[in-house]
Amino acid sequence: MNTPARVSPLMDIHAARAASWVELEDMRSVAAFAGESAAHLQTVAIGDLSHHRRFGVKGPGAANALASLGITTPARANAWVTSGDALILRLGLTEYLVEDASGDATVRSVSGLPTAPDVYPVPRFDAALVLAGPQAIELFRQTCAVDMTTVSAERGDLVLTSMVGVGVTVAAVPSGSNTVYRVWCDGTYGAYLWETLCEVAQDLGGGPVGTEALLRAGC
Amino acid sequence: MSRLPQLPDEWIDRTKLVRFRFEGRDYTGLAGDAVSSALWAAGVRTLGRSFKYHRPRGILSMANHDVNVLLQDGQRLNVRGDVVPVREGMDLSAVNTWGGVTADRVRFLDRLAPFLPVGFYYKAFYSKRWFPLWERMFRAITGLGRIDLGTPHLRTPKRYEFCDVAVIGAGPSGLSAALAAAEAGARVVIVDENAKAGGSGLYQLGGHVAQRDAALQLRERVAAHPQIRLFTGTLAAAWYADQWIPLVDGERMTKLRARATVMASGAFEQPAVFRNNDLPGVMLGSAMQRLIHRYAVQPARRAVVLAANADAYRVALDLLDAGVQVMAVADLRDQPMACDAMDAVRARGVECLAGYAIYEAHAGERGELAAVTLCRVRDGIAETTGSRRVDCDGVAMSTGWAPAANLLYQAGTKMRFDERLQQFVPDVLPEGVFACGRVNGVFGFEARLADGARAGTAAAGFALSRELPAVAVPSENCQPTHPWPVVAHPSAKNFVDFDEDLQVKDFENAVQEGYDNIELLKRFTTVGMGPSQGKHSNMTALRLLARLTGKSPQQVGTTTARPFFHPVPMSHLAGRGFHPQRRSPLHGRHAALGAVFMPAGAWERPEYYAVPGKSRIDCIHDEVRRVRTKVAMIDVGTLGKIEVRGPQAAEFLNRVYTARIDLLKLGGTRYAIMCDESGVLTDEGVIARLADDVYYFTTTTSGAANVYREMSRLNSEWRLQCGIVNLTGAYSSVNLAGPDCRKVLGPHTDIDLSAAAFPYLAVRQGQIAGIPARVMRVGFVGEWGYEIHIPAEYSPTLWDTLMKAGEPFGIGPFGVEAQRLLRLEKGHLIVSQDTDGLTHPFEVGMDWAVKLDKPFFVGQRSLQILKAMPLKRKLAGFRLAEGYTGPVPQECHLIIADGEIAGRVTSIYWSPNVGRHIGLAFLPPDLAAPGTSFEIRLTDGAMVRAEVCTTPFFDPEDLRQKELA
Repeated sequence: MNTPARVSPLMDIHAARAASWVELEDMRSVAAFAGESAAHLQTVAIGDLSHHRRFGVKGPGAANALASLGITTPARANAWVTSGDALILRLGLTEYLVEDASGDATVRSVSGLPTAPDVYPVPRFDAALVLAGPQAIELFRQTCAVDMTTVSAERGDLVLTSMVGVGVTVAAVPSGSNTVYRVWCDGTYGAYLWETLCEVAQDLGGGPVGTEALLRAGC
Repeated sequence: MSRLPQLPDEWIDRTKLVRFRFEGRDYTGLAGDAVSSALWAAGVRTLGRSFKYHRPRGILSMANHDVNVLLQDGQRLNVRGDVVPVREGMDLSAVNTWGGVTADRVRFLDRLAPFLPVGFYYKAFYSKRWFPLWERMFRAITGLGRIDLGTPHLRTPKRYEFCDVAVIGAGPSGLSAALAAAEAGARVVIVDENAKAGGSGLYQLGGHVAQRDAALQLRERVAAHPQIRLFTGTLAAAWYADQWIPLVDGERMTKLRARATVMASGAFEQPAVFRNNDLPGVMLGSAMQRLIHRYAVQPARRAVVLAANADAYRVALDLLDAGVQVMAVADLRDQPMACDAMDAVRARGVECLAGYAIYEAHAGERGELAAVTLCRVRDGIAETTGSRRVDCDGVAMSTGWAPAANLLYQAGTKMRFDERLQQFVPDVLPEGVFACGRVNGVFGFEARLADGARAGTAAAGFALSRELPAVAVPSENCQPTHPWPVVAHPSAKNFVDFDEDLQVKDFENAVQEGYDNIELLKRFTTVGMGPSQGKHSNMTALRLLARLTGKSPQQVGTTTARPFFHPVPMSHLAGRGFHPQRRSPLHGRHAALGAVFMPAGAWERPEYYAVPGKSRIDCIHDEVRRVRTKVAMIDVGTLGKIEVRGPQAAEFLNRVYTARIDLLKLGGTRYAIMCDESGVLTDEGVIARLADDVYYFTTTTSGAANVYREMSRLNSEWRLQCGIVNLTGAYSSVNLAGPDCRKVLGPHTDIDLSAAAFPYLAVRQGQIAGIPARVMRVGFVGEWGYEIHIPAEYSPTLWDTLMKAGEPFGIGPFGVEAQRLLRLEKGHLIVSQDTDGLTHPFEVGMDWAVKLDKPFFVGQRSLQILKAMPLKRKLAGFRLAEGYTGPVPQECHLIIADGEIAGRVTSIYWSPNVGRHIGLAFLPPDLAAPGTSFEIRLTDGAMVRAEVCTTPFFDPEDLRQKELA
């Protein structure tokens, strides 16, 4: 039997606007949007990184279970670190989200963790976005009640909050000399979040960008 | 009136003319002019009509409170003439007139005032007979402006801002506070509703040039400070817990989050009360000073100043400097406190009359101020002998102030009435809130600067958690407010509230009728309920009530200052709407199949799938037929999906659900319900045991978030060794149902679908099209079926696979409406449709699902009590007569027995499989026995007879779940 296709939670809304596609991690992703402008990255650009594989784990034994796989976890709550190429987010005290970089196998090892009484697997279906550009902070100011200027990429800060009424996890991550913001939300809210953020970004002179532009920008 | 020579800080640009229309006539103003100042400069003094009596009104405050100068500018309503800048091409008209502001046909109402006493509005509606008449009349005659329903929806984005210290008000004390806080290291936001900062420091001068220079210098330092952001034209409209402050400007609303707040909001100058104190030309002293210093407009040619404090004499000096002939200063005080300004006024030859008041103002031919009568006054009682008439076209009222303390009240400040100041001042401030300047009872210019520095430093210390040295404030001995600026007059028309045309006698009558509490008085008289929200009337109303009831102002107290304390455009409140919607991963598939979506909680679900040329009901019946005769699929991914794992998972679920979950066999499922502590049925679902310590279960679509939240809360109390994982979004699910469903699914799964290996109510795990799946054999719609749960990212792949596989069998999708009909045929209830907020399991025949002999579960104690009590109602199935063709009852239609309401219909459908209308209804137990006849009342009052029957209506033996059916 063939490997079943993964479908992005944003597939339906991308379908009408994509100019070109690319297959990433068994998921069809938008390489470039119709009418996409490089200028978006100079104001505020929104990209879809849902194709990255991810898995969660929570419970009192979660940190030890990840450590047993050689995965480094953040020492404090609401922070992120990298472990190998994977991004490890600590959501609160005892919950972790692991996201692979392309081609990484960390998620596979986490999802295959043996059953333990205090470790609970958390399958994920996230709409995973990235917000980049100097106007990203302004976009947050119109959509989120947290002051993102206080969220530091150098410290590895993340916040659990809401944007446009949707529960999200936001992490500030470095991208060259700049900071970009990764945003994860329940995939079933993904279309609404994407459309609303694009609408606000458009007011700010920005808009969506595909994975090609994101790659060029180092996001 | 005329323009004055150029002034140092005027707001107008003399090089730019602005042409506009008012009441059908062309006028020219200057860029930077307010509408009112431009009209006043052009000699127009009647700018609007009052709300109730349609009396001519002019400028009162020039401070955003002139509610009688509300204008219509095309589609824009209630434009405030006293502050809104005049723009090229504006076509303005006064609201609330019939035939224009000068020829208002309804002005005769002024003469009917004796027949329209306080409370008239309420009393008019006593009579049911006259109610419609009054309603029509009030609706026709009242209202401020004409709404154009074609006005486009303005998208005004909201925004968040953040700072350490928020300073409300950029007058002298606010600017000083901002500077002090910033110097201490705080990030400061300072806001002011005016177009320019500086406040009274730049217009209440009394010839004091040094004050103006100091204020300008302060403003420049604030504007240049890197730690300070100054927002002008921005109103701090409210204060909410945790230092949230909505800032409203011309474009949007910004939600400011501060660590500390300094209230430097100043004070509202208060009108004095005398007969005809509302004539165009009578205005507050500060309004005249704003006209002079901001707009370079001469307020009057000949003016009388009504005084009760030092500010009045500064007004007189400013008027003299503006070329106004000051006819007299009438000071309410017998022995005015000496001050430099008073000496200067006297030195310039102005007659100053101590112990004098304006007894009444007189209108000229156009209804505008032409003269006043001055007389001696003692405690509000005029001594008319010896009175004299003084011709004038302007009266400046400077008799006192009321603190702009609305936000302080909202923040929970405890205020006290200061007898010397005759003003409420902060007594106990909430943590993180500070006050300075006039709102804090400090009036002198230098003292306000010091008070601002004190408050700003303290706020920065609080925000930054640092100890900072305290700043001293010099003491004062001024008396800025007169305790009784009211002059009685037998012919009344001495207005207290200009919004609602309330006179002194209205308050006397209200108290006489028993409305002697400030909250009651407010509601009965409507004082403070107009657009100005009592900024110029509440304090006088409070004084009146105090005097009429023999209490002190402190004892009378103030009314609640609710947010927003100043009207905010609806477009700002509406703004860009954020209404989160959830979409199934299959949304696009549904849309491609013609789904007509309906809201289900936060979700959009297919109600049915439209087929060209077919009606909605035909489409639904086709979908039902397909389920009963072939195979069909519905997206049930919106159901809550939760997993509980751990050694004590069974114990946890035993406590949450009413059933014995611990007895559930591995690989089995069970329908279960949960209740709250009062025994009310709150949710339902199917629980599957996947392993000894792993349970996976569904909840209702709308209940998912609440159930997860409540379970998390409960386990934080119980601390059982188990974890709860919400998989609602991470997992998707479809229900494949119908006689041919096995044929569709079989070739694509490694799960043995035989009845023996996979019986009814079993759960199995395996793969479908290579996708890991959890499959439950359940029968909500009453057919052989599989509820398939898979990781959501594979959901479209699974859907496509099964739809393709089902093509030879005539597969199709079915929507929510078909599902509801199908489940009704089986007599299955839907929580929140067939139950309500009081329904307990015994009322809906779910005794079997409640195991009262368990050691504990949520709601057990209440259910034990309810079980011992007789039922008050019962959910029962019913049907209409065979062949019934009349109007059909609807959900929520009432059941009537002996002329009384006996119950209600909760569900009703025409069932193509039963061949009759069938439904569920709450009935009294004595009407719930099968075969009992009862009546349902339709919306139009007609009665329809129905008969109680047993359920299920369809396949009562559940033969469809059996191999040989």
